Amino acid sequence: MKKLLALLIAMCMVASLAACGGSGSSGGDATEAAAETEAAGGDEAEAPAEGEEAEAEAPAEGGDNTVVIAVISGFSAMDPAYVYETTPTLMVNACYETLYKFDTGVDTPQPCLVDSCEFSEDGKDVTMKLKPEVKFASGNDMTSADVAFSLMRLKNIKGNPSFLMDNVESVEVVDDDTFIIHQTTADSSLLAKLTYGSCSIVDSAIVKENGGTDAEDASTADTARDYLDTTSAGSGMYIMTSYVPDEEMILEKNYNYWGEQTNVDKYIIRFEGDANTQMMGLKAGDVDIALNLNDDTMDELEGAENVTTENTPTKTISFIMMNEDPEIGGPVSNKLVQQAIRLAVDYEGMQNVCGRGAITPKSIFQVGFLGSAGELDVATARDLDKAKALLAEAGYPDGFDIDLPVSDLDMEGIPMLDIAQKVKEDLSEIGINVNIVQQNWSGGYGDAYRAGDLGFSVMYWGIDYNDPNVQLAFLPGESVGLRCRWQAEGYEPVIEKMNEIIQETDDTARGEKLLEIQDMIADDCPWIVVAQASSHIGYSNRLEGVAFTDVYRVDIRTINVK
Amino acid sequence: MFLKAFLRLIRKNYLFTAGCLICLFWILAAILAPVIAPYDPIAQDLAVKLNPPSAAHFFGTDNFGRDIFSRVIYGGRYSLLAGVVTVVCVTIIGSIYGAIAGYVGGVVDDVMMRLSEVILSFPQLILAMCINAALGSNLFNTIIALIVVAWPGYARLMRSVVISVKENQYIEAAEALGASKFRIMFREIFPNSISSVLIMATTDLGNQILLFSTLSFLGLGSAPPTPEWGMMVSDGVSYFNKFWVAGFPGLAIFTMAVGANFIGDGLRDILDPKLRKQVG
Amino acid sequence: MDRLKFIVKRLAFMVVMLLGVATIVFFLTKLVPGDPVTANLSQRALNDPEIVEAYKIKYGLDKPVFMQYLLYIRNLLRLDLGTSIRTNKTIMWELGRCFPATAELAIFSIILAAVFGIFFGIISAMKRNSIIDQLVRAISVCGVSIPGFWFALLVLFFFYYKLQIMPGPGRLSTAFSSPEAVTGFFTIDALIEGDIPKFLDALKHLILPGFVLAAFTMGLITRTARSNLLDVLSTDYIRTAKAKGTPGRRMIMHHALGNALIPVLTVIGLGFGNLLGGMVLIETIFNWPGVGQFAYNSVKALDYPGVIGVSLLIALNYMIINTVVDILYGLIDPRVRTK
Repeated sequence: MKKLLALLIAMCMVASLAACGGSGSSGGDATEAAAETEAAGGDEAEAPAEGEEAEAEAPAEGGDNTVVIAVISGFSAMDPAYVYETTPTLMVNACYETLYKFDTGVDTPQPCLVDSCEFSEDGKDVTMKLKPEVKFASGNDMTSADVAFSLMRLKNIKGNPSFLMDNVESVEVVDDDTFIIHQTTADSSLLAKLTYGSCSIVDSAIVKENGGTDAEDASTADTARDYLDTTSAGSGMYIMTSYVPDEEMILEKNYNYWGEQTNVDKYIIRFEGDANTQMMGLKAGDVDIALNLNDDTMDELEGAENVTTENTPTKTISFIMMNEDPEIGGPVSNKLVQQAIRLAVDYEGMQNVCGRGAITPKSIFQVGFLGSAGELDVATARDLDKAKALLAEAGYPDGFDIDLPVSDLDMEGIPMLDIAQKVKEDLSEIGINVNIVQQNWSGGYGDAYRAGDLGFSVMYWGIDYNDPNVQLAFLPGESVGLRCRWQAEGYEPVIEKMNEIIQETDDTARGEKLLEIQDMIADDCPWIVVAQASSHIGYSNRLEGVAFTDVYRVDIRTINVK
Repeated sequence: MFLKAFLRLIRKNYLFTAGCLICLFWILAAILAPVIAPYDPIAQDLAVKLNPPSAAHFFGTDNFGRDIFSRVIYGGRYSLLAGVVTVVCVTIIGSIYGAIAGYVGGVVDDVMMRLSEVILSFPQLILAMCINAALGSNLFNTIIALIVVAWPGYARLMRSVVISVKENQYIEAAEALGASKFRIMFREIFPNSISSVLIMATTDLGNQILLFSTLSFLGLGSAPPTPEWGMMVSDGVSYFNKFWVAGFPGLAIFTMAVGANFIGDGLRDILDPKLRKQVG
Repeated sequence: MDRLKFIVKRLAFMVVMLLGVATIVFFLTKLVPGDPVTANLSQRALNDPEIVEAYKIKYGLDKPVFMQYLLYIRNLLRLDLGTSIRTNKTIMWELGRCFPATAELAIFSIILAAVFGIFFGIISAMKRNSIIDQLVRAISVCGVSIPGFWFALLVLFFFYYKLQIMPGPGRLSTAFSSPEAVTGFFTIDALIEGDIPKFLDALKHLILPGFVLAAFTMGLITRTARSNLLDVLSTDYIRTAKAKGTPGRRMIMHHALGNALIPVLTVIGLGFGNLLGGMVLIETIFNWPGVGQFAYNSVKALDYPGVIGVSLLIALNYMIINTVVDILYGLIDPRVRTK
């Protein structure tokens, strides 16, 4: 009897656990369950249906023209007006189009939606004509009103990328195909800014239907994000049909596309956390493109016949920052100490830490940009004797102790902590004893960094838009420069030169001026760029046209199945 | 008497013996680390980075070319320190808290126990992560997080023991004689109750070492290049195919925890009154 | 009647304790020197006071902390957990998405732990002090001593990377698409769809994380089962049965097991409660899109609605299981009820 009872209880137990699971899964209680079904009804009603359809077209085993991309997740928004992280630019580029786009291997923005473009005499007003044949995925024609809506929505929504429109005052609709962008001052980087995913032209009719607005109060009134985070409303080659954060996203071919298409019918984008998983998937043929490999996993793929791997330099840099304010920076605010540290860093070793393909630019302007001063000669850049002499001259013959706060972030897979450890090692050789202090980006580091309260740190910087002007922020008195408390006083000629660069619409002249400004700050700069990271990607040989680009990670528009 | 029981355990219980030997090994390693370790645990040598185990580097090297063997030997210091400090603090805090709740009783007891239950029902790791986020990560704060997470268990045990001791006649006698509450609590109840908490503390040491390494694995410990085992394992996550990077530090955590738990298990066998009659 | 009162009292406690949990997490996340704005806005946007202001207003971060707390608790009482600052989805939606994945893994692993734990416990108790006993005890101690994150890496290294006989992280191979959600359990949903290969694939993905997760609980169960069986075996009526000449195995199965299993149930129940808390690591390593991973990401982003939501879910689960265990206990053991 007892045994039977015990068995019964054991079974009840398991059943009740299962029930707990079940009841929990549909929420701890009934109301929660109701809320959930509601959500499912609202957000997912279309997705599963389309999912089925997709399965019918492309069998689960993966039709020839389904391509699987593995990429690290960790981004929040897919609504173009909010997009700013690097990962989603991959998807936004596939689903939306911008007035200009970057083509792989070309350094200047190329027209995409635009037929013609004309700058006014003072460079402030830009008149553009849309290509007449452009249609949205919904079948609607794209008009100037859509352009005005998209850009003004971006400006007024006050989200992460809204700064791109800071200099744009308004967009005037002339007729269906013609519009004028009015700017506060001339801006040599306007076209590059317009290539950024956030400046995508959205289907205004659909976005408005779903709560979108471009009015001044869009930051609170606009409710279209919920919609645009689950599906796309653009004119790109693909349509986002499903997106589950941290899991996967599905892009399907847009059969209404106005231009020439590739032969890939469907993309499955899987958010896979680490290089190993991506590498194993690639090796097994489960994954076609892996975007976050590292040196180690690339070695592993060396012998694999079906896979190609590539290192391409990115424009993401990591740097040492030294606060100019003696109260905050202490010894590192001293110009001589700054130079000593610059001479003490082992740049060659730093490249080793940052992985294959990493390079070191001479200044804060990345190699690959217009006006770059090129690569540093890492073999001769280190001079410990001279560094020690400089330290002694500055009054620290025996070195000093200093805290180095470091965040938990990483640059293209290289943790800032790794770079900090290398800095600690390098500086120990000239007697500077570095004490690494870990801080979470969100737990205080970020605030201190922004406010210029960090004395000595290592950080990284990814470009917001693909134009050298983006780096001008590092100059004295500018937003990033102030993070080192690098004040504008005493740098009037530099500021003047900077304003010339911003308004210079002739690229040859701009390149020369950029070189000049680098010379002007060479000895004073509180930044030491330690490395420019490289990307590590791998892809299946059944694809062609895969190449890393800084702007879109890989440009889906050029990928075909062989 | 205790020594006799200990010697008997050593003879009869192989696992207990093994536990003692393992712990002794780690304690010695921690103390003698500068003598044993062939390299400076934080010295980098990028020329030999990620080399497999060899005669020069018994456990291979990590992504900065540091000698993993030396790092593992030094790493024992942090784990032992964190484990012991946590257990000691938690025993003190938990038993005082539990004794007060159990002795005073009534509403005070109710409120105090509900508070401890709130913490108990919390997912440990998430609570520890939040505390660490709030305080910043270093060794000291990680130990604080461990203490906050662990004390309620001790408090509850102490409370139940105190309640049962309180009902003993000699306490009643002391009360009748007019001894002050404070005196009763610290002279009579506390000494009679503390032994069960001490048993719990011994058996809990392994758990605390594990939890500490878990937090360290999540990046909530000392800053690198400090050779903390948990952090060394997390270094290895990115070099998954180089098994030695994560493998040896993990093995160290494992053996230390096994050692502590073997001892705890053996002690429970002789000290737990319910089991004592079977062993004896 | 008494039992009803007991249950009502428990429920009332539960509500109070959940509020306690919410309060603690809320203020802990507010103690952090940074704030969610920094965590969720870009470097550029943070320089623009207008953007920061708009963002704060959107998520109610512009109000004084205490007001925020009152608002949060008010919404909580209406069962509204708010919106995630990190993903901009409602916490209810996020938990609804995550929970089935976690529950599936947890149930699978608790079954593993229970089966192996009880089995080892019986063997160990029957052959007390033999080599087998020592071995089983060693295994159970190893189970509670092995660092989960390391064990996870170890099994991945051997079974996935070296031997390639087990699938890697994730719930399903890339070749399969997720089954349509009915229960949210991929194995069951695949069966409902009638897709046997998909079912097997989902099951295979459960094995490695399931075992890693089970190790700790299995150690505890083995230990409890063993010591309780020994306890029961030494009681009078078993001695009587022994004296009467009932053969050993039969006696264990027939007389002892039933009594010894009751405390084991408690351990299983509590183990299940703890399992959910232990998910953070395993899910992060196995890229399992469940509650643990969500918790990890939320803590990192200081997304306090997310952290509170997860904590409440796990605490609720823990309390429900405790209550269920208590009630079951009372049903089978009258002594507990009268107490």
